[in-house]
Amino acid sequence: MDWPRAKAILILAFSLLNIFLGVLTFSSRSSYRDRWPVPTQADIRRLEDRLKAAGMTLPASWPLRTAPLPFLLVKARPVDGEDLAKRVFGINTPGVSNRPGEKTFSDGRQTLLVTDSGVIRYYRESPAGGKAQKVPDRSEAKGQAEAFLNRRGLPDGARLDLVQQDMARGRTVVCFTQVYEGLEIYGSEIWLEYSSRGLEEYREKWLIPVGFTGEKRMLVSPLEALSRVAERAEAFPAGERAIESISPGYYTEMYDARQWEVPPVWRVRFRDGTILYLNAYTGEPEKKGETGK
Amino acid sequence: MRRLGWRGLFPPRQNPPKQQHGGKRGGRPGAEAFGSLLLAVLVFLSLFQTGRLWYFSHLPIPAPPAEYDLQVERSGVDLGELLQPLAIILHQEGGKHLEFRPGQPGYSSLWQEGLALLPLQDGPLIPVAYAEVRQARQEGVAVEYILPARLTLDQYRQAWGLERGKEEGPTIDRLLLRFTKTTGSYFLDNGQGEAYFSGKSLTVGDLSLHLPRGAGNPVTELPTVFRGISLSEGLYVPLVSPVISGLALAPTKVASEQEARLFFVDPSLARKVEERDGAVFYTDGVGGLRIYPTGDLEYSLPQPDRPPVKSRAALQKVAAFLKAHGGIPEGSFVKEIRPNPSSQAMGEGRVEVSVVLLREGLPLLGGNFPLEFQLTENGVSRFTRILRPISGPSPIKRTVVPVENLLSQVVKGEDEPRRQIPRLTNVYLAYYLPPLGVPASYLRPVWVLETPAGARYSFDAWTGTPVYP
Repeated sequence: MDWPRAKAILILAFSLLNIFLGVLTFSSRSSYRDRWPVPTQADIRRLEDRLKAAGMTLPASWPLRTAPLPFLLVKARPVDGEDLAKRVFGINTPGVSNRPGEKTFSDGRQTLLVTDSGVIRYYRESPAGGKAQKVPDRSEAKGQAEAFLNRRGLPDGARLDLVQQDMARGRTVVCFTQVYEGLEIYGSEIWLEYSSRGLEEYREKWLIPVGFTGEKRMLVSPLEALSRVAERAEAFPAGERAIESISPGYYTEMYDARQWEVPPVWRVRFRDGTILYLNAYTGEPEKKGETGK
Repeated sequence: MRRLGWRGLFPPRQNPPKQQHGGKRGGRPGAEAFGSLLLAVLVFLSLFQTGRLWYFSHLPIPAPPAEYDLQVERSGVDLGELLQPLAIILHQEGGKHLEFRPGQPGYSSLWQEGLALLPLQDGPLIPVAYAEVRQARQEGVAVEYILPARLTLDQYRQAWGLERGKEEGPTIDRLLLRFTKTTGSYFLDNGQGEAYFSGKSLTVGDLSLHLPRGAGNPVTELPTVFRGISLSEGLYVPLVSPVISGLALAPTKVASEQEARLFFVDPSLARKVEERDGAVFYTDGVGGLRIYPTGDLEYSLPQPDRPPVKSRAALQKVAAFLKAHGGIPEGSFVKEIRPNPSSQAMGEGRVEVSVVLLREGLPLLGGNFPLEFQLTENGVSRFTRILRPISGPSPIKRTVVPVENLLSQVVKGEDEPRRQIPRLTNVYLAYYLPPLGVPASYLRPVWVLETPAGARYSFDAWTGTPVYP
């Protein structure tokens, strides 16, 4: 074999190939950049003006851009209601009342509800006409929640998302959200409410992420998402509506299903606790969250 | 001729190169090393660039606008097929009546005769006493077209491809061509007992009546009062109780994922939810489509009630929607167009359109029609489709309970909820369609009783027992 000659031919061929690929890469990057418009100061000022007109203010910071994301495939986590009831009520486990898709255990003082889709809800009956008690402070409630979950077994991928006092109800709320591959799955969460007498309510909706599915798609920019919020200002009560944060993630409701696909969202959280989930592919609202949630 | 393969492009050297200056073959070692290094760099660079391009090529291409439906709508849709008569009654001398259903011999020729004669009748519609119609049915030759829905004559004319009349006219659900004595056309709102006459002359000669021998099913007209129950005029039932079978169902055909995604503006944005009962739900966060294991479909797209939609535009939208999503099923007939119960009147909000399918000459319906729509000017906001593939007649074949026996049973109140039926506007045989998502092994024949309020009651045609959705 004439190696020098072969090498010369290969060098020539690969040079041509690289020139060709370089041209392709350059043109792709151009179109990619077009789809990732970096906001200018003028863009940000215009957005501020629009939000201001709607009685809203921009968050202190927001992500400039996020990588393209595909759907996330999840499935419900099966829960053994009988076993859980034994752990909650001990040997005096009350009888179960079955409705389609759910089991309810109650001894009159505390109630446990478990659904086929893996939702758990436990709550204690409030004492009638009880005097207003001191609301647990945030660090105290957080400590109690972490201790409780450590005993129960904090699921993998749980991240503390919220600790908030609800003075009107005399409770402090602690919420953990599931995280998968660095992104929150909003709607897959553990919700605890504490009063001065301890744990009042526990809600668990925890999913099993199966993996990403489908092709990666570009997300609307955070700027675009915030513009959509300004467009929907009339859906919110009047008054100052400071936007606390905007963050990417996935959001889903619980379905009575074997498995389902979940879209990426932008979660817009207002300072008063109101949350808005915008489909990150379209910018359309997925669901307006409840206040404080 | 010398063959030149790829080897021919770079033929091997015939003579080895001469060694120069007694040095090594291939030139300087520095240049050799540089060449190797350059080649390695070029190989790695090409791999890197290929990988990068592959990654970016997997980024989505912006979705095309949803012009699919619009294009179908713009190209025009033939509504004539959806508004052909559900049945044609040939009234003969001596009080004999023959019924022709779609697909049966004689139906097409009678319908073409009617379409040819109808344009001649463009005179003003004069309200007449219903007794004239009664007389026309009983004496001489007349052809009565039982139309699928209550629409204005003008709307029918447009749908059938005829010239529009001078006036829109009242709503009609029947057309009767009379060929003896006072010849002409009657346009009936049979459900309301109203009749209109257009007096252009028709003669028997105008009706060629090229009917195959033995075509048509002998029918008889029901009395207008039966043991206290009032019945609309012009209701025809078989003269002799027929022996009929049910319809056997073929294996379920469930819409593919690709078909399902066509319901969404950007199909790739629809995510899939596999429900525990075997149904699959697709949603893009706005609209939703549920496909049941039975193959039935339920689609919804929340929309404001306004702007309202008119009947004809509603029908065009329905036809366009069907064409865009699997096509108009064979044997489809528009059965009802009415304002949504929450709307006050037509043209004030959402409109409901129901489409019935005819199989073996009988309609398929139960609690639901096979195709049901709710729509506004913006388009279809709700759509349900119950299409069960039929393989043929089921093995069981029995004689149908005479309708008189059924009505006697209703009068006696053997079926409690149906005791309060003072009036019936329609009585006919049909195949019972199970509700959305409910499986069935076959479709049984039923008697259907319709009231003026639009309620429908089904009774097993073999046994007379009520069938509940």
